[in-house]
Amino acid sequence: MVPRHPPTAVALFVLVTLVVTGPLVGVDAVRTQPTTIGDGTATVSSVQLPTSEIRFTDGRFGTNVAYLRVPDASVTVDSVTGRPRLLYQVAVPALDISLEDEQVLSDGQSGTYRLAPGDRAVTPSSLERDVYRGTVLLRVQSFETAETIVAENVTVQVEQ
Amino acid sequence: MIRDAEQFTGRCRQVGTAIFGDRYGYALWLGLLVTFGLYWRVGIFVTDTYTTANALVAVSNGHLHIVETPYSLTLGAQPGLHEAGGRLYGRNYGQILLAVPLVWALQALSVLITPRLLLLGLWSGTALVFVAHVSVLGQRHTNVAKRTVLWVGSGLVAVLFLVGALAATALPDTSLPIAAFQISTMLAAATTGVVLYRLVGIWHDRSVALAAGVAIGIASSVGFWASLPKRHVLVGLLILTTVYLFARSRVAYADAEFRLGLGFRAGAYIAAGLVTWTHAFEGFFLVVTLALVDLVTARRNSLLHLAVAALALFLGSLPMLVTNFLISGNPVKPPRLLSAVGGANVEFTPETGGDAGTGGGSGTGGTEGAGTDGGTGGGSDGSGGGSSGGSDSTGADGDTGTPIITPILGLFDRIMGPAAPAMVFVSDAVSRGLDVLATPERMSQIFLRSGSAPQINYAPNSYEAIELTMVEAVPLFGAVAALPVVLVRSVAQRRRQWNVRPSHYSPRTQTDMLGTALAAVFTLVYLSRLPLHTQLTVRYLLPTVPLIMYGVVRIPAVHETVSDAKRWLAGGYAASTIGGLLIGLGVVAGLDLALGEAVQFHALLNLGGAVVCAGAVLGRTLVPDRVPSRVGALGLALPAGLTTAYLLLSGLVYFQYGPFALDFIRVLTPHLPAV
Repeated sequence: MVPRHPPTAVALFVLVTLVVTGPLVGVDAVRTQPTTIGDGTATVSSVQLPTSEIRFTDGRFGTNVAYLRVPDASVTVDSVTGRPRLLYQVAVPALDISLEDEQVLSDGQSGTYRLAPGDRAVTPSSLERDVYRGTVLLRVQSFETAETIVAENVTVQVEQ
Repeated sequence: MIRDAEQFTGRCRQVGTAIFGDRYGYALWLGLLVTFGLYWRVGIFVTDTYTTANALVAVSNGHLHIVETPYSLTLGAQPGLHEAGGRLYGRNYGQILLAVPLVWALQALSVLITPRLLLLGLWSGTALVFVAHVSVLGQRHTNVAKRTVLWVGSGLVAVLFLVGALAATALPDTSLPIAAFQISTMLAAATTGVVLYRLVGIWHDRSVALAAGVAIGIASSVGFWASLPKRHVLVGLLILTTVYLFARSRVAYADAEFRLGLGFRAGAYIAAGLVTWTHAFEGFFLVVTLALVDLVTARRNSLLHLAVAALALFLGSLPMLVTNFLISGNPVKPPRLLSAVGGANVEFTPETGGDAGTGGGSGTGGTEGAGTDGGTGGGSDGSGGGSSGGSDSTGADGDTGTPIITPILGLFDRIMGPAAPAMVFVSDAVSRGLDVLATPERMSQIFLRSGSAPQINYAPNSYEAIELTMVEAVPLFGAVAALPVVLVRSVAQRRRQWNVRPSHYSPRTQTDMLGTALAAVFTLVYLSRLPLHTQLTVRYLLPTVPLIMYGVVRIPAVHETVSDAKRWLAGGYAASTIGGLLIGLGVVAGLDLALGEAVQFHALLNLGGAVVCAGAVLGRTLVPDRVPSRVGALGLALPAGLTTAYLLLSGLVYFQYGPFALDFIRVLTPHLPAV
């Protein structure tokens, strides 16, 4: 007995799916992926991280600030076990700036991931020098391992 | 059995008609909810929400004071946290209590369904009902067969559900109360669309009403705040509901249906009174404005009618009075008047009333009662000190044993305590607002162009220039440029019949008067606080947005255009939305924009849309022969679509503060450029 009204049929399907996979019935058809870090490892096969693009430039469209521009990192991962995370961190200690983005990986989820820490606005008056020292860090972390893939010191130009 | 079921269905239909008006209103409501869900993130965006969310958890556990803080590490030093009798309280309890049944419902359902799939399931269910109704309406107005819409729509929802279910990420149980809080705001935002649809529908044809409902939902800043559980959307809804009920009462009075008119009039006062439960001072301004316009325009002001209106106002304020009494022992002392914890600033409240009494009131709840009794009875000077002293002495009043008189005197004194500083505050808010009106530069930063406003402290936003002005946030308001012309014309017309008293104006004019008065008052009282950080779309003025939208629709050049050139409007809106999305994404990716730059880019884009809109509507108003209605329709469609594009992009790309409620959206977003 299938209802002829398509929305009712889909609604029944949705309802049954939800209840069957719910805590009471507990059929393991739909697994909600955890989003927090756990144990595990991951192998990074390639990294695209144009560190030379890290610099200060003026904000556009009337924002009236300067920005620390941080490029996105593109990280290709194969053979993931458990729930490790990728961590990409750019810091300019003299200005007390630290930007980061993380991506928690799940078992078997190999592929290419984008890590985008974004840009950080600073008031133009706080930029007193022409060049700042910065650090770039890319790591694979989990409760059982911490592997550094990239650790670089960079000079960050202030472009007017 | 079957008859019972039929009766039940009939009753549901009656209730549905009373709320939504017709199938169009219902479909509008569902469509808005489905859209809001797409860019819904579960989490807290504005810091003030920590307190209210913690308070929501407290109330859903059966007590008003905050004990545990699931949404912050520690208790204290949060904006909006208040103290009375040694206990910590939140604020906006009306808004919180609206969300409590939703918390319970979600928690009950989570016994059966895992939280993440529960949210997905609720969205899918809403979308399916939406599809069912749209299929009926689609067949009525277009050549598209009902079955086609049903199959395509249901199939799409099924696919999205499957993608969402298979890609589902875990959502902790502790997220359910904040999700419920967000759902309550989304319901309020969607209902705002329905109320505007019905209000406009009293005077204009359905296509105009429907366009207004869609515009307020997803082409204005209301849509921006739809899933952000701040009070402004709810207050805006209640104000608009007040105007709607007022309009119905004027229509009924004009038709000499006095009992029906009285009923709606009472409804308007109940709605106005309810605002006090969420924000006492906004409620105060609403009630005073409503009362003034109501008394002047009512066809009948007999003692009975006034008594019923007063009773309705009392009923509407009763939940607020009871809540205040439970918290502070003083029914007219709202949480915002209590001493703030941690020195965080409390926006839009008298500064003297609460703070003066803080030292004494906060220290020891128990001993306070004994000492204050004398103060309560004797002190008639009713300053902040007297009021705070009174706040803890509820029990002490009973103990003294003096029958009736002492408690009444005490109650009176307690009422007068907060009243004096509150009155000073009210007059200050108005006079300082008037001062701002005379400063063009500041007015421009509130209403026209934001950029980087020198008035605003951008540090709390990490120096990002994300504060839009009113016109940047709602470029459709460019149409307001035609309002002076329309006003001058209608005043000129009115002068020919100057001897007609306001009570015999047409109900439409009377409603326009209330709408104008409310928009003016709610703008004026907040002006002295603006421009300010963390406003994003001048959120303090959000309650005026539905009123201004109503005003825009009432411009002849707008509503005539909409009903003349429906297809141009719809087509233009779709094109403008898609264009806005593509331009936004393209520029973010191509120029590698940061957050503030992206928001300011949209600000400039929207300003451009507003200028086009102003030109089209003004042109249609001044020289209707030269500007065809389809040009007018495109002039409205352009800014509306650009706003929708900004809403979607702000939710999907720009502002990241929590996981997407729907995982099929989360799967999509890594393929979009990031700021």
